[in-house]
Amino acid sequence: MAMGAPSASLSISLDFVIETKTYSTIVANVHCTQFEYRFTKCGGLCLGLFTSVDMNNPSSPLASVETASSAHHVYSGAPARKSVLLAHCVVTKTTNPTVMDEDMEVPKDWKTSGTSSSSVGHREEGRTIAVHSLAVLPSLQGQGLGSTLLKAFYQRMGYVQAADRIALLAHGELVKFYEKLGFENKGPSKATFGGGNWVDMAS
Amino acid sequence: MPRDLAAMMRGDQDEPKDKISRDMEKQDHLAEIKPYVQTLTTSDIDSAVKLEDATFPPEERATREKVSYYPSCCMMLSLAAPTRDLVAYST
Repeated sequence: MAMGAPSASLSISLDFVIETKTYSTIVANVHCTQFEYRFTKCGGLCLGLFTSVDMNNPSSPLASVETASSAHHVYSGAPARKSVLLAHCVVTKTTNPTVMDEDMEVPKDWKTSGTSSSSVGHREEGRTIAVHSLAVLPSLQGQGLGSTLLKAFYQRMGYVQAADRIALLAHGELVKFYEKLGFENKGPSKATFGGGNWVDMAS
Repeated sequence: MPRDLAAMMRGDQDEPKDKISRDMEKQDHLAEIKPYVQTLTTSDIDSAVKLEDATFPPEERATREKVSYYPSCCMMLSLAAPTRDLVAYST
C-alpha cells in the first residue's frame, strides 16, 4: 500500500509487526492504541469549518448564526467562547467515477452491521470521494469559506491518499464555481436525488 | 437594512475589480473570522443538521440520519486498511 509522508511512521510500525510476528500480539495492541488515537484525531474526511466565538458579545454577528445554539465550548481560558460550525464538507467513498443515487443512500442496518458490507452508501474500497454536501451558512456565503474548506479537503485527501478523485453533483449556477476549483464538467448526471437536473463534476 | 443600501452594496460588489483586490478583500474577511478546519465527529451532528437546514431547500438537505451516518463511516477512511492488517496479526 502506498503511503504518503504523514503516514511514514505507520508504515514503519507495520513493517516492524510483520518482521516480528512472534511478538505480534503485544506489538499490535500497542500500535492499535496509537492508531486509534491517530484515526480519531486525523483519520476522518468529513470536515467542518469552525470559528471561535465569544457568545457573551452581543455585537458579534457570529453569536446568533443558525449553528450557534449547538456549538461546543472551546477549551480555553475563556468560558464564553464556543466553536461554531460555519461550513462543512460531508463525504463518503464510492466505487463509481461520479456520484450516483445509491451513493447518497444510507444502509438500513449501518449502526449494527458495520459499514463496508453494504452495496449502498459508503464503500470502503472505492477510490472516488463523493461529496454529499458542501454547505456554508447563507449569511457567510461569498467570502471564500467554501473554497477554503474544499482546498483544505483536497490537501487532506492528498495526505492520506484516501482516493484518486473527488466527485460531486452541482446545479447549473454552481458549475462555474467548481470549475474554478479544478473540477471538470462531466455532463448531465443520472442522479435523481433532490429532483435531479444535476451536472456531474469530478476532479 | 434599507433596500437601497442593500442594493448599493450589491452594486458595489458587481463593479469590475481586478482579481488581486477582490482576493485581498476575501482574505481580510477570512482573517476577521479566523476559521479553522476540524474533522466532523458525532458531537457535531446537531450543528451539521442546522447548517443543512439553513443552506439547502428541503429536497436537497441531508437528513439527520444521513448526517449521523457520514462522519461515522468515514472516521477511519483509508487508514483503516493497515488497522485490519494489525488486527489480523494480533489474533
